[in-house]
Amino acid sequence: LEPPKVLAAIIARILADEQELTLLCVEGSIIHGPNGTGMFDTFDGKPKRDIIRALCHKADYVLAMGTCAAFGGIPAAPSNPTESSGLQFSHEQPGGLVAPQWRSKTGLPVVNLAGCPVDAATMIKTMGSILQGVPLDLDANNRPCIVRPCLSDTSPRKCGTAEKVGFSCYGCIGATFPVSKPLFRHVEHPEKGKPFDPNSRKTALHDGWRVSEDAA
Amino acid sequence: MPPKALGRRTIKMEMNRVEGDLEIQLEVEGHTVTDAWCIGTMYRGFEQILVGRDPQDGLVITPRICGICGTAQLCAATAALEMAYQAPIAPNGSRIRNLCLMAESVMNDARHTFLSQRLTIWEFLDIQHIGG
Repeated sequence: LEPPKVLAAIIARILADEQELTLLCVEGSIIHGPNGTGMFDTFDGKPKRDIIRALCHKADYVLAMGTCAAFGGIPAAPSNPTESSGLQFSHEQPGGLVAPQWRSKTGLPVVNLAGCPVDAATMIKTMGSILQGVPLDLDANNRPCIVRPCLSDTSPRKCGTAEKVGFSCYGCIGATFPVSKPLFRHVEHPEKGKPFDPNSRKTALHDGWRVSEDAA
Repeated sequence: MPPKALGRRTIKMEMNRVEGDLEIQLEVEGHTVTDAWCIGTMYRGFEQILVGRDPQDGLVITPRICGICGTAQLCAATAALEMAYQAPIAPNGSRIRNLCLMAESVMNDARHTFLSQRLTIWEFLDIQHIGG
């Protein structure tokens, strides 16, 4: 962790084109409040929003780490007291800190690594493929299709964890997270009433968390 | 005593261990602190977001306050709900919670020592080296 003065010097060098910025990883939602001034979240007396926007224009690739940076997430949930948004989305609506048609220096939009929290393997895998020049497969919300655990596993659309734990998934990789309806909804266990079989449970848990090697 | 120290000075302190979201300013006159300010530079309004939602949503939203102490926030939210519902806790439930909190403490100690505090230790050793 760099001390703030060192950080400010690095930012100044990047903005003066004295230092290259390959990967810009942004975490946390972009706060525009109060009344569009951005002063709810400041660095050195200036809104962090303006610094991030300036850095976005200098970066080769911009990655939004987590649902907050990607779509606004929890701070942008209604009533959105801080006027928060994501980097290129405001929940499911395109357009946040930068315009929907904005592209980084290399022609990619903001890559949204959704998840609350975003999966560690997803972050490392995405950064690795970008640095190695592997083209990313982005969906309608600009999420790479290797986002674990849900997007990477396309064959079973439902992972089955909801039935195992008895509560429905609250969709933390979705653009609308957290939705306005209650997040905890009961889900009937499919094997309710059946005797407990430790072996089948073990296999099921193992299946739910397996690493899909094909995406690597 | 150098004459500079006699005047009034304002000192801004760097708070890099809280990601810059806290600012401390001191006003020093001579060798005495005459005034002090503590400024939290970020506001997110979690309390306002929770208004009007299902009470159990607090169990999802509250831990997201902090990426370091999420479990502690969750435990507090759970305790608040239990107080409101007047729900008794099973003894094993308390034990599991305590284990989770202890695991988080251990993880944070490691993280603090080897990630955040690393710089300070080097700075400290440097100062010792220069001083000696």
